[in-house]
Amino acid sequence: MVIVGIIMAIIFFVMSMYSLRHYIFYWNRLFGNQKGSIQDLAGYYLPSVTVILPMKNEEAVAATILERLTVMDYPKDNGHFEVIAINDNSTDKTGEIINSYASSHSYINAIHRDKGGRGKGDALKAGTELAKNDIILVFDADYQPTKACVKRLVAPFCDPEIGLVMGRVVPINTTQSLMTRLLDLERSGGYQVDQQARFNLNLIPQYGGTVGGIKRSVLKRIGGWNTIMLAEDTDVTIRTYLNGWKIAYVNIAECYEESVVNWKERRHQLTRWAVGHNQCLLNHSGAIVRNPILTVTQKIDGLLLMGVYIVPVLMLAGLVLSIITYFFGSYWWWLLFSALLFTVAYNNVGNFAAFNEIGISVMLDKRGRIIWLLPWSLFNFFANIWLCTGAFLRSLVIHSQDVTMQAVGVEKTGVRWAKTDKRGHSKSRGRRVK
Amino acid sequence: MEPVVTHMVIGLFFSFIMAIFLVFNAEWIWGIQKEVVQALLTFANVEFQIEKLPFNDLRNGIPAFYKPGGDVFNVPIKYMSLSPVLAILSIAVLSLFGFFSYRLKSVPLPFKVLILFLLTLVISTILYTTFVSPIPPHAIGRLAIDWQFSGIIIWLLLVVIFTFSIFPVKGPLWVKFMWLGLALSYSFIWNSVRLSVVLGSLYYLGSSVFLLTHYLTGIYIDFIYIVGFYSLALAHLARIETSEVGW
Repeated sequence: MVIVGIIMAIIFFVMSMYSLRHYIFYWNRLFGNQKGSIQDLAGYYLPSVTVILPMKNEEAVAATILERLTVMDYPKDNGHFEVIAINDNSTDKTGEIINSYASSHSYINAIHRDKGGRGKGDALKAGTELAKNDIILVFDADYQPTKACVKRLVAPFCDPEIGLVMGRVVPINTTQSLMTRLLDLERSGGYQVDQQARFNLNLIPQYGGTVGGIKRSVLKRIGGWNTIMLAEDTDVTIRTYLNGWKIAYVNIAECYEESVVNWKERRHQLTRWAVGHNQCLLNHSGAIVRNPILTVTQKIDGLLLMGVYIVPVLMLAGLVLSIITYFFGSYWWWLLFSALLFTVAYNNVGNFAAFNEIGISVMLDKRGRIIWLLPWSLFNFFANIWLCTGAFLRSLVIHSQDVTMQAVGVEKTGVRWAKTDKRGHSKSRGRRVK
Repeated sequence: MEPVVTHMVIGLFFSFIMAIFLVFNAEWIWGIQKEVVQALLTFANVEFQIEKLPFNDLRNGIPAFYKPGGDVFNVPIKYMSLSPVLAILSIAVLSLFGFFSYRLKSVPLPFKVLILFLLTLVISTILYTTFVSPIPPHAIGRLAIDWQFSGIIIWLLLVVIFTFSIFPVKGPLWVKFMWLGLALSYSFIWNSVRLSVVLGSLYYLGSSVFLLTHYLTGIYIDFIYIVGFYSLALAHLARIETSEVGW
């Protein structure tokens, strides 16, 4: 029982750290100083920019994102604005759609890949090599940037310390199902409170792999896109900070996305994110702790950011231990532990954005009734426990395979496209793109 | 000072008052709740006795081991113990049910996880009552339910949650207190119903369901209504804020 007690204490400590972090973010968004003055330059600082669109079998959405880019409020003459649309060995009509846009718009370049590595990281690598401009923005095919998105995203790059920028992702098909409504809440908390607070507090805002950008010179210095990580975005976030650059989060650079609509898609998406984060945790933790550039709070935030998908695993371990202590421990020990566990867990409910963060984000967005759906997040929470535990075990297997391959001198191969199927019906239900 | 900070200070003060109130009046609150539980049990034709034991209140601190105190409900319990063969058979059937529920595409993933979680509890109970002891842990020879099961401690948790989550949000103080009051009232009613269900199910269904009725309907379900009241309070405050902005 002593070992059980020690494990329970560790679980409680880690979960308390996350709860405290959520409260600090929530507090900062309510009462702290908000960074955003750099956005005064949006529309005045207009550097040359390359937009990379990696696509694989995206015929349902390809035309929409390309159309959005053609109406983007940004000077497009003399190579100032370049779009590299990459058709990564698609088997549908994605290539044809890209070609038709490339033939009618001089700044859109169609790239058709049928050789080389197969994954988003590989596609980005190919696009970056062809990019003519130093600032590279990345959008996924199912995203719909607002007209001002690009000029708002590039504004922070006037600061030489900024290596990466990240905009805000807003679900567009919010009314499609309960799942999309709950993901809307999650996204709201994650961006409006979590990302903005991390930016305000000089911590580590996360680059999400889309609706963001990086300087090509910075990318070169940090070793380029990692083609063997499932979460190449988190990986590049951490490597940017480890090398001394910062990330700017731009809350008003909104871009609409088509959320997953059912549990099957959600399972794939969440598993991919969880495995990717766990890979980063296993690969970068030591470097973060030893890094002389990062502050102590940045180190803690970096570790918590990478370990966020471990929380549901700890919850499961806590539940199992609470059953053991119920049967074999003293009553008060069990009761106290269960109460503490659930008090902390309660603060972490809501798909990793604490319920407080979600609530406040909805307030800040001037929305109201959608908060009524918050109790439904408990169901997501149960699913997260299951999915994240599976992802955790898979990460351990992948890591041990990597270690073995490294030991025998075999080179690791890249990951394949791990994408979510898109239907392209985001136009008809939910929000209207500005 | 910002009005919202003032509200939070008021909330903190209220939490402190509430803590003092609960420490010194747990027996009195339990007295009222006991009457409600008593009425519900009588309505459900459950046999019970109320035994008067020395009250071990919060002023003596939290004891290391559970010790009933004050007015204690005693319910005759059928201690059901399955034969090892029947227990293994039941576990096999439940495991198959769990397996097929998990494989069935029409069941949403959260429900699958919830079913697996409930099955784990049921199977643990069967294993324990068959191979360790027919008497569930912490239920002692007779089942004693006293104020320590009454959910009074959840009141303190509710006040603390509202203090840090609702009171700092922009909006009128009366709305915050109104929702806190409603949450506390609901908590009182819910906990009375919960205790009655625990005692009633033990009386009618036996000890095997103890884990499900006590463990699950205790701490776990409390959080659902707490999140519910939090959401309603925040939605109300958001509506007021939005209408003011619109004006």
